[in-house]
Amino acid sequence: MTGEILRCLARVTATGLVAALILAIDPGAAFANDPSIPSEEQKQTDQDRCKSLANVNASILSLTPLAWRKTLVVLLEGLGGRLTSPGIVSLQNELAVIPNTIVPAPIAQHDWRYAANLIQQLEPGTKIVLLGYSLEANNSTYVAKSVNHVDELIAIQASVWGERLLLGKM
Amino acid sequence: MGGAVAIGENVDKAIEIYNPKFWRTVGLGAKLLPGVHFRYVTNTDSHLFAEKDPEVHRFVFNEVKTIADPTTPEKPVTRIKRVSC
Repeated sequence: MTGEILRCLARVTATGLVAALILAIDPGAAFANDPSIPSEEQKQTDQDRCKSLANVNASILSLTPLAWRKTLVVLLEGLGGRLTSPGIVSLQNELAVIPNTIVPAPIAQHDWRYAANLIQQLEPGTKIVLLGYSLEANNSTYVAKSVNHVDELIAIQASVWGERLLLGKM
Repeated sequence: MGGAVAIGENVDKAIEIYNPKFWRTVGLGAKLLPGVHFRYVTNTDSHLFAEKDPEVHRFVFNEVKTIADPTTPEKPVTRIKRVSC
């Protein structure tokens, strides 16, 4: 019984070895119908796909300058500067985490002309967000009036009082 | 009265957060700024708290991220209500 099993195993092993040898010499013959090997038709389709992907890439690349446009956020402190506007100071760090955003240190209330100059010196195409608190919310309207373009103005609690403190009223 | 000029067409979007209850801010946060494209948003903050209010900060964050990078996740804002466009 044991002898018969051993003979059978030897025959199977020999057959396996022969098959392996054939495959090593000519793998194409064994896998002629394998779908992983591209036919002419499939190659053409792949080329078409590559072409269309190249077109998509070209479109993305042409949009890249728009996608990378920087945004400048100008923060204007209220009367009393950092002492009375700690929240505006902390906004600098909170907004700086947004990609493509530049947030300079908040500008003091009496320096609003500096904000206008800063905006005017930017490269065309830079997006501008202007944020003012209290009297600087009032002043932010003067800043917006004296520059070419502002994408968004955010005014937080503009004051009814204090016109005399609005330096350089136009 | 607190001065301001009417903003013009060179400003694409303008938002003012104010407290309509005059005496809550003693007038310091109750002025409605004039101009085209202005939208007014009300809140109930005292004047000194308005700039520190986390809700206001989240609102500002959402506005900036919409312009700078719309893919940045929005922060939840619940108390600030838009009044008009």
